[in-house]
Amino acid sequence: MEEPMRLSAFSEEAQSGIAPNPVAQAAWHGLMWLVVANTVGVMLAALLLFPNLNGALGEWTYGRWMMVHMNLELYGWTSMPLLGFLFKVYGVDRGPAALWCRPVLWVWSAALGAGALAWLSGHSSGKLFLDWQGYTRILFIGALLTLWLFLLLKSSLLSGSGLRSGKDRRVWWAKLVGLVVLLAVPLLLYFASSPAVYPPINPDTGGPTGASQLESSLIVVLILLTLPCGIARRLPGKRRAIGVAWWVLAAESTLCAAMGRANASHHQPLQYMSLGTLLLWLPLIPAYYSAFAWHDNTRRWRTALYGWWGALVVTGWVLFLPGVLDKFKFTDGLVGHTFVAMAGFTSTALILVVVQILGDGGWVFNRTRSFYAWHGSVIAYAALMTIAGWLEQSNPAFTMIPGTLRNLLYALRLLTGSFMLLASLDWFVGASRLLREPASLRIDPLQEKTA
Amino acid sequence: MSLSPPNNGQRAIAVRALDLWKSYDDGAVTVLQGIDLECFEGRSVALCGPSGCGKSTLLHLIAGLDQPDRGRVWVNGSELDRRRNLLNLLRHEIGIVFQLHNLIPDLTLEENCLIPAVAAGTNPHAARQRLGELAERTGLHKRLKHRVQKLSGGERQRTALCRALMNRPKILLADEPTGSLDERTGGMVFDLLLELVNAEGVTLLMSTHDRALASRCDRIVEMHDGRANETVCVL
Ligand SMILES: Nc1ncnc2c1ncn2[C@@H]1O[C@H](COP(=O)(O)OP(=O)(O)OP(=O)(O)O)[C@@H](O)[C@H]1O
Ligand SMILES: [Mg+2]
Repeated sequence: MEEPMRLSAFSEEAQSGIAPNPVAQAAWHGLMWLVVANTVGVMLAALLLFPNLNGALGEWTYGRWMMVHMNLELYGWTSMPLLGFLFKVYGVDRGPAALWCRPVLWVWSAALGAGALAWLSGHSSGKLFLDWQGYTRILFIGALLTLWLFLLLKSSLLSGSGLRSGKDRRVWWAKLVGLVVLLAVPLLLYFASSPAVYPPINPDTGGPTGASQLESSLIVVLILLTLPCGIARRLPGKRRAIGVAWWVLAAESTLCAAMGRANASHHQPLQYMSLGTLLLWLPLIPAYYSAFAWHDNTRRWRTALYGWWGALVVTGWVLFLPGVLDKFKFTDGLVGHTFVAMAGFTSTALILVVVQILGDGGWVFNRTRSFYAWHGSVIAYAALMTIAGWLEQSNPAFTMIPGTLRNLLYALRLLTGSFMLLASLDWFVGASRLLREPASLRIDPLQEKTA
Repeated sequence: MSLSPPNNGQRAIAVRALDLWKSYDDGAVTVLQGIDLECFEGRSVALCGPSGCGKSTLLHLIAGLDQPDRGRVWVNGSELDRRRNLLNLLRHEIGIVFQLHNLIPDLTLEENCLIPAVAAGTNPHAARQRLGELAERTGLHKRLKHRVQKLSGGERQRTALCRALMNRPKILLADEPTGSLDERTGGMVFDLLLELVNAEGVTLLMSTHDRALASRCDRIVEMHDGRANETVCVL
């Protein structure tokens, strides 16, 4: 049984109300973009239902807003809370360094704002999620490098003060390796954004370009295994669960490397069998996570994480099977799966991390109404899109030409999207409150009132 | 410089291109070298010239699908560059028949034609009625539920024609509308094209290799070396 733990990440200043917590600031930025991107998402869902509204949009058409929606969800919502994670892990959320967190976050947000305007004006590389062109490419890469330099210069890494004991030395090396890996992100992003590096559309298949499924899934596992490190204490006597997880990851990576990337058709048994080895992670992730000490406020988010992880791994594997993928490819069915991955799994993992670091301040994400509105809507959304995808395979025009059943499904989709928007607004308002009134860091004012 | 369009009798100018230049591959291939062109409302113009001389390129520039390196284009009296909403032009004022027809093979004839109407915000009932009318005239009414992959070449061209006319455009740009068809079928499709265009008072700008078909248009414009010369004027 795990004991509830009080892990407060706040500096003395924050608790006495002088400076707001940088992790809360990062969460606030992420939530701001979540609200913006979700609002755009709701607008897009409404446009699909009422195509006449397209006329009112002028040049800023559905296709351009679509990029804004997707990119802001990715580079805003699913990225900025991780800045909070990095602040915490590299220890720059305390002391004098903490003052720099705010400008670093605003540089990032400003680049995203510029990006949104550029996408709306029609500047695009044509590559989904690698849509940094012209000056926005410079701005966004600049924001990434600013963060990187900040972590390098303001963490204790350079002073070498962490090198005293053996354990400290290991942590020091881990942080250094982390920084080196992080540096690869802006560089890769810069080069991969160019349409010259690889084409947005695979000329042989007419489909999107991409590499091995197993490879990218293992990177997700690696991230999942890394997340608790630095924000949660390891529980004594739980070494085995942790060791087993890292060994399995090593074994699968070896398998992945041995398979190589050539001719990775999902019709080859080797491909779908090897992808099936990911099912091992269904029990391994919960076991790994329960080897750490978590704040009480994370309880429902950990449960949600295990649920979404299971759903993601199982549906991901099933969708990849020969015969299934061929039917669902490019349909709304895959949109549903993406929702399980991003709105379900990724969002939950991020919120878990933020709640753990915020500790008592994690009440922001713990209100029952927003919790169930979010998860219920994501489940309903994924189900609706699976149905739409199923209908689409026998009738490819199903989603394009308005008809009764299509309109019904799309109206329900609009409804679920609206509930998700409301949930994100609830979180955003809570996070704004955290920043304004450091006193509310400890307990949900809503509960206080009712209590 | 003020550029008021010259008057041709009572007719307004539907399409005007002035000194259009276009090159590809960072200037390695210069295709258009100062094209001037005028099409009067309700008239038909044939663009002729050897393969690769830039007919499709010119049509794409006029439709606003691509941008010239230099030069100006007016459609229905307003300049493309200044248009705040180019999509409105594509949705309501111009119909295009592409050289390779660009139909979506997995969709039915009906679905292909309904898509532009959906995008323009026409109500589905009215759109189906319009399609019924066009399909009747082009002899496609029995094929509405067929997937494009199952249609013959001539049927596909006629489908592309119906799709281009769905939103009652004032101008029809047709890029080799009979290019992939044998002489007889090509002749039939062209008859249909002229008939529809005349019935609805549409301005037609069409590229073609077929001299016989070209001579049935009101005017022929010859393109070579990236320039345009008028050869016949039957106005
Ligand atoms: N996107 C492009 N990139 C590079 N070159 C191009 C591009 N599009 C067209 N070209 C070149 O420009 C020239 C004109 O092409 P265009 O398609 O306009 O000719 P065309 O007169 O329509 O020919 P055809 O009668 O064969 O249809 C050709 O030499 C072609 O290779
Ligand atoms: Mg051509």
